[in-house]
Amino acid sequence: MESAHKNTHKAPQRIVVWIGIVAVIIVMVCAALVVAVFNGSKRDDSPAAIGSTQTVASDDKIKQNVSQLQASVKQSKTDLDSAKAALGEESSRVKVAE
Amino acid sequence: MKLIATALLSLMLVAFTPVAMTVNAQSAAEQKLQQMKQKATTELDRRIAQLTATQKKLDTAVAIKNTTDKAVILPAESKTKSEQLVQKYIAQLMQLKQKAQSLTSVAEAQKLAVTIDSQYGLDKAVNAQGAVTKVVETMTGTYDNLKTMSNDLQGQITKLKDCADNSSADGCGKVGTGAEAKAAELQNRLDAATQQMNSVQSVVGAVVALQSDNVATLTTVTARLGDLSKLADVTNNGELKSLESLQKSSTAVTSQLTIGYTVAASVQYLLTSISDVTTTFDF
Repeated sequence: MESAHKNTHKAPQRIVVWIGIVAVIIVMVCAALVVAVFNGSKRDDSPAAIGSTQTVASDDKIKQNVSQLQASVKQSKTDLDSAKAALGEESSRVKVAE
Repeated sequence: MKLIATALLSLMLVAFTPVAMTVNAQSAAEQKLQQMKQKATTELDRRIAQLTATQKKLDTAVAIKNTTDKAVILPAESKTKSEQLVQKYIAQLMQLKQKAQSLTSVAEAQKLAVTIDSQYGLDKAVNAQGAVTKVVETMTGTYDNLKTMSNDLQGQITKLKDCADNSSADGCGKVGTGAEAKAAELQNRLDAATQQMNSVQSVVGAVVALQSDNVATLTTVTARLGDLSKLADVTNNGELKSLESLQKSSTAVTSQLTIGYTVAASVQYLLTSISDVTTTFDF
């Protein structure tokens, strides 16, 4: 009689323990899923992956780069000459006082 | 009768000679004043023209695409200070020109002439700092273009390597045989270009820092000196001493940039030669 009473008293406790275990498992699975999704969304920037995961620059883009670079290097030379002239200019100066 | 005529003529000569001499002296002084005004105007116009040309150059902005490395980008504050300095000096020289044109005596003109001559170093320093700031900015743009092109070429070479490893991968069908060897050769050339680019990066980073300091120093010096049109003779002004070290510093900037430009031009040819090959691939 006493043993039967104990069994009926333990039954709800076991249910609660099992519910707890299942809940912990569900939480862990969800966390693992979130981590997996997060890692998967990260872009792989390693050099080996660039070609396969990123858009490779088109030939037109490369040609555009070439002309921009040429113009930029040319402009650097022009501006460098101007800067040197500005630092050294003396000959064009007019002495005003007599 | 003849005697009376001679006497009258002599009297007239005696009476009018001082008047004629005074008129001559006045016209000589006036001529001298006009000459001095003309000389002052010519020199001020020359200075204004140079500063205006520098201002026009500074007006054109350089757009930077790779913004991660701040050391190789000219700070906006330095560019603004440089532009403001040039604009301020143009305005003050215009006022000085008006002052020169309104002079009424040779003594005043002499005094202003001495002042204009004494300010020569100051105007030159402001113009030079503008011109040097511009070339520093242009070189940051050149480095940026080198970097962009190098990155894009690296993407193409990596794609070529991927296709060499797996020719059935997406977009690799038309790459053809020998892709692996080509990719390796191009990678070597790009690595060599990257090494040279690193020295361009070092030079540009160093001159950006140096020029920013120079602009800040000149801004302080000119602020302490005040308005050009109200300044007297500054020949012995202690503030002008700092212009000598600024001149040396700016000369050092242009010397470094000469090296940087030479290497940048060499990298440009290297990258262009790589692109000549990569653009023949049909990904």
